[in-house]
Parts: sequence; C-alpha cells; structure tokens
Amino acid sequence: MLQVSEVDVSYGHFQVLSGVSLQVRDKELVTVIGSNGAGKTTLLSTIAGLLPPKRGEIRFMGKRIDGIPPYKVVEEGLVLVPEGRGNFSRLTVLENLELSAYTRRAKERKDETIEEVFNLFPILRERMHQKAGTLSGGEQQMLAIGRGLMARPKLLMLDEPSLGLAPKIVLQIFSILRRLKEEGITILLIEQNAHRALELADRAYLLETGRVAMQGRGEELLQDPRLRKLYLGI
Amino acid sequence: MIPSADTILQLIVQALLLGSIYVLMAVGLNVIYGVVKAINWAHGAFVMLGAYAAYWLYELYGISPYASAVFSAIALAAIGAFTHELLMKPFFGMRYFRAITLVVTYGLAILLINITRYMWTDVLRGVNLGVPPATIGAISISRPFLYGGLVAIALSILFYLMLKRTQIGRAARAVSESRKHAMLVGINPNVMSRFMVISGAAMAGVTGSLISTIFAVTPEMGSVLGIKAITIVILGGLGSYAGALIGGLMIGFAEASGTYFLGARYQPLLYFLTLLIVLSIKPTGIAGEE
Ligand SMILES: Nc1ncnc2c1ncn2[C@@H]1O[C@H](COP(=O)(O)OP(=O)(O)O)[C@@H](O)[C@H]1O
Ligand SMILES: [Mg+2]
Repeated sequence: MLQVSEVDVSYGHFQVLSGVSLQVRDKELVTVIGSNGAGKTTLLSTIAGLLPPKRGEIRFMGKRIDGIPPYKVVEEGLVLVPEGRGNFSRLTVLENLELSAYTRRAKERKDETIEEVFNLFPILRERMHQKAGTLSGGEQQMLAIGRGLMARPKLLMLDEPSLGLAPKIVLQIFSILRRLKEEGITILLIEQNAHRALELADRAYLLETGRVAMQGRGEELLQDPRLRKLYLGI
Repeated sequence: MIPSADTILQLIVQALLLGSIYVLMAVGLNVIYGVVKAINWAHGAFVMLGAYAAYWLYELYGISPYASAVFSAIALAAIGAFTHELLMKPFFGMRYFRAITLVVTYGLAILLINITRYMWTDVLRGVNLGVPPATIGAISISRPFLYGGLVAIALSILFYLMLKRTQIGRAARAVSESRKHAMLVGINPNVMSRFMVISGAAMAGVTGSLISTIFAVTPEMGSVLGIKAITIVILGGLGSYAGALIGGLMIGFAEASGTYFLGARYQPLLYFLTLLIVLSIKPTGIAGEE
C-alpha cells in the first residue's frame, strides 16, 4: 500500500535520512521505533509531503506521491497525525473535527464519522463546544486521532501519540490503537515507547541515525537481545 | 459651556457610527494580518482608492457611493489578489517574511498614494450627498454617518458569521493558526490566504466608499487612514475580531469627542495618547492574546 524506497532527506547540508526503505501493506499496523533524533518525525513528514526527499521515491496505492504538496497527499487518503498533535487551539473540538473532514471523500461521510469518533472518545462529545486549546494533554491527543479519522484515511500515520501523557492515558491510547487495528484501519505508528508499540505491531522497523538498522515482525524485534538492551532497557 | 444631554447623546451616536466604519476598516486589516502575520501598510491606501472610485463614479455618473461600493469592493479585491500573489506569497515561509511584508506593503502604499497624487492632484474632493440629517427623537444624525455606520456594521457581522459558521471560514482560521497543520487537513493554504487578503482588501474598498461621504478625499488620506487603521488594530489586539471592534469604536469616540471638545487639531494627539495608555497597561492590546 505504502512503499518508501531508498529515500534520502536533509535539512540544508545536514543529512537526516539515508537510504530509508519501508513498506506498509493493507490492514497492517507497522511501527517505526528509534531514539530521539533518529529521524522518525522527518520520515513521516517526508511521506506526508511536508519535506521533499533528495533521492528515492514514495508510492502510495501504486501512485508516486513524493514531490506533491501535503494537501494533495491527504486527498489520496494518506493522513498524518503530526508530532505535537496539530489541533487548531482557537477552534472548538467540534470545529476541529468538522474541518478535518475536508476532502470530498471525507465530507460525504462526515456526520457518520463524527458519531464514530464520539463513540470512540466519549470525552470529546462532552467537550464538543470547548476550544481545543483548553483540553488536557490526553484529550488533545484523542482529538488529534479523531481528526485523523475524520479524514477517512486509507492509511493513518501517527507520530508519537503517547508522548508526554500520563501512564494511564498512554494505556488508553494504545487500547484505542488496538481497536482501530481490529477495525481494519492500516496504521503506520511511530513510537519511543518501543515495548508497547512492538507488542501491538505486525511488523516493525528500527531507525538509528537515519538508517533502518533492523526490521521484522513485532515479536521478533521484541526478542532481539541488542534491541532489548538498548531500547527496552531489559 | 456644558453641553446638553441631547447634544451628548447625539455625539455618542455619531461617534459609534463613525467608529463602526473604522471597525470595518480594522477588520479588513486584521483579516489580512491573520493569514500573512504582518501588517498590510497599504491598507489605508486601499481605502483611499475605494474613496476615489466612489468619488469619480458619483461625480461623473451620479452613482451613489452606497451602490458603487460594490465596484470599490471588486476593484480592491483585484488589487488585493495582485498584492497577495506578487508581494506576499513569494515570501511565505521565509525567515524574515513579516519584516519583508511590512516593507513591501509600505512601498506599495507610497506607490499608490503617489500615483493617485500624480493623476488627480492634492485637490480636496468629496462626495456631497446633499441630504438633510435624519431626525430621531430629539437628536439629528448626519445621513452619511448613519448609512455608512449601518452598512459597516452589517458587513462586519456578515464576515464574522462567515468565519464562524462556514467550512471556508473554519479553513481560513485554521490557516491563520498554522499553515502546516492546515495542509495536513487537506487545505491548500495559498487558496485560503488569497481569499483572506482579497476579502480584507475588498473591505478596505467599501470603507473607502463609505468614508468618501464623510471626509475629504485626498491622496494623503491613504497615509492618515493607514496609520489610523494600524493604531486601531494594535490598540484592540492584532488579529482579533473583538479587538477591531473595541479599537474601532474607541478611536471613533476619541475622535468625535476630541473634535467637539478640543478641536480637530488635537485628534491625532488624542488617539496616540489612548494608544500609549492602553499599551502601557496591556502591551498586546485590549483583546490581544499572548
Ligand atoms: N527543521 C529542522 N532543521 C534542521 N534539523 C532538524 C530539523 N528537524 C529535525 N532536525 C534534526 O534532524 C534529526 C532528526 O530529527 P527528527 O526527525 O525530529 O527525529 P525523531 O522524530 O526521531 O526524534 C535530528 O538530529 C534533528 O536535530
Ligand atoms: Mg519526533
């Protein structure tokens, strides 16, 4: 479904990704783990069209998407819930959700999707008329995921959804991700919380200073001694 | 001499009406600020062009400024589109684009004012509708103020509702909050910022039509009104709708009462004093955030 091939990305002269290849198949949950600064956010930003790759190509549903602007990538059904959540703090929760059904495809099913999102995150229904900026961290993340769903994604990309949240909320977010996976949504998940991500994932990639250092099924990586030592602290 | 209660009431109503026209002017400037994140220095010059359009259409063809406001809006919308495409968009995303936009629109203001001066000289012009004041109870209100104020109020409310209630309004607000995050929703931010700059410029055009019936139309009004508009949005809070409302009414008030009690000469002094006092208490303006 998503095919990233031999992608190089740099900020000015500073190369961040080198020859990164990755793929996500239909209905899979794929995770990319790696320490801070490894290039995970850069990878998702590149796929979403926010950064142009220096080399390599990106295909989605067989179509080349590198070099097209982010708002066109969304139209293809490839949706990013960015690092820092990307909610519009001055818009209400409901306005955020309605706005996020922006493409024609998403607009047609807007009311139905809002209902689904509210069922998934009942707290958002309660906070419907509140400004997004007034939500707690966990609620913000729920809104961000809800916004991603509003776009009716074929593939949903999430950049560290558990970042900065209390352990209890992290559990809740992961159980939502599991539920989305069971509902058949294809997901590309980036996490520093490697343990939980690997447990959930069908397949996983380990990114180290901009290169894919390891890849395999989630449980395979969980068993790898070096990875256990460096990233799981076991 | 102590003015009578009726005189004071009349003064207040007149100030509110004039203030409403300033609100429309400031809303236009704020709408542009919202997407460009920089003050459009040419806003006063846009108002001036709207006023000249109203003047000439009235003078040559006898078209009422309230009717020709539609033409002013369209003409300024075109100028707004040009400004967005050529003078703003190329700099989006650049490191110093706020400063660049400020300088570039300042240059545009000087250019427009001097072209106008070259074509139509510094002669004071104006639309004299020659209609008697409207009498409401014990007070009488000059009709240009009455009509101008009402049109300005209606347009400000309409645009506010558009921003609040429609998908295009939500998208515009999203772009003014973050171009990047708006793109991730599927919004083309250039389309939205063009729309907002065009809307803001069109509002300046209408402001010009309304003001042509109240003040003398001269090239110089471009810089005077530009400074006034900037004073209002800084006073009220940059980018804030409520700020434009409060700031516009305050300046309308300061001006009307200043003219009555002190004479027109002291007007600029009065609103700069207001600005100084407000900003020393709240540096982001009355309704400004951060
Ligand atoms: N806008 C930027 N300009 C320059 N360097 C950047 C920028 N964003 C990230 N970097 C650098 O790129 C590297 C990878 O960053 P990032 O993709 O955010 O990593 P991760 O998400 O894995 O923590 C880091 O060394 C970071 O300092
Ligand atoms: Mg990151």
